[in-house]
Amino acid sequence: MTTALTCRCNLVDADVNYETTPADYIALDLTNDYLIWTEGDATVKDLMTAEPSSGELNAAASQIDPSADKTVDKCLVMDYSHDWGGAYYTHKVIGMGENKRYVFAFSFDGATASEPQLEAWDDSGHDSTDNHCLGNGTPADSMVKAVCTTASLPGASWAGTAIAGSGAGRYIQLNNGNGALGALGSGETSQELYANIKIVIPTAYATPAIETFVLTTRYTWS
Amino acid sequence: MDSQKLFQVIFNDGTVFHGGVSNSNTRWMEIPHKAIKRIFFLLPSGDYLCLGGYEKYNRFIEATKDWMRVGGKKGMEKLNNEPKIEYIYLMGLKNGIVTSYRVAMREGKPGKDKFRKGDVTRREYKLGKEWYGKPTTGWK
Repeated sequence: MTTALTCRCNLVDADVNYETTPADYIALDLTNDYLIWTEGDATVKDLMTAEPSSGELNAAASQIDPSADKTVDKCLVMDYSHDWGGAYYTHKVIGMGENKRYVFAFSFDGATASEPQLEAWDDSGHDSTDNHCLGNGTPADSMVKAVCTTASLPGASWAGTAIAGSGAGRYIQLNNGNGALGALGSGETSQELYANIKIVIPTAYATPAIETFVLTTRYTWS
Repeated sequence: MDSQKLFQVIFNDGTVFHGGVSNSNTRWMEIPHKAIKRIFFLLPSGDYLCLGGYEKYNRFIEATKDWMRVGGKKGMEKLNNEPKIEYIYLMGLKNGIVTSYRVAMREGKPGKDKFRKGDVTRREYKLGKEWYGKPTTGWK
């Protein structure tokens, strides 16, 4: 049978996993929901009651720092159907970029034939990584940093792996290098893998940009 | 042969096992554990690829799920909740070497992608390195 994947974000407490506290996680509607990485301001923030406009997102964008790397401050889930936590459109992803383990969760409802991996691409064509945030053609320079937290905390001030494309070393394995997922145990409905992700803009980066890209989970089944 | 079946396994004892008709239910994991003589794999063209003489065989599906577009509203593409099947892998193992036939399952962009739907790429790997340099499960 097809192994289905559900992607989730922790909105409450990044010290608890989905298995024990599923109510802390939002399941993403991939047709309508999206993530907003932003510095945030009085308008673009947690618990917005309307979808932010492009102008509002521009005004709340992170600023390139001339003297230090800049980690984008917030990650918001734009919950289009506002089906989590009442009538709010945006929710802050808890623990993003911090030394937290249970931030982004990947729920598989069965076995896989290999270890799932997390990638980043310009778009769903999965054939380019030309965005500035993905290294502008040099994947190792990607500003998108990811770390597998399935087995442990990422550590204080974790650096992560610069992810862009599917070349060697430019994606992360989500089962901590332990290979494929086995069949579910009796009574289980899913098994979870975890990652933390952040965006770090290099010091005095020359090209300001507003870019969209996709995060992709690549996996297999028999 | 039933042209709808994804694969047909011929065992050394002369018995036959038929695969499913959909990649959402291939029946690969239901193949009995006994010596296999050859397997006929259905290709998107309707032709069959026959692998025989190997110690073990594998077949699995590679899919991607674009689980999040990131950014603002302008220019964002719509994604889909369903996984996108990228490739089917048909593999044979002999003397520690995996012969992999990777079958493209989606149309590439003309002038940009090297592969079109149905294209088959043959490669060889050391066992344990057969998928992005990593091992796979499901060997029969």
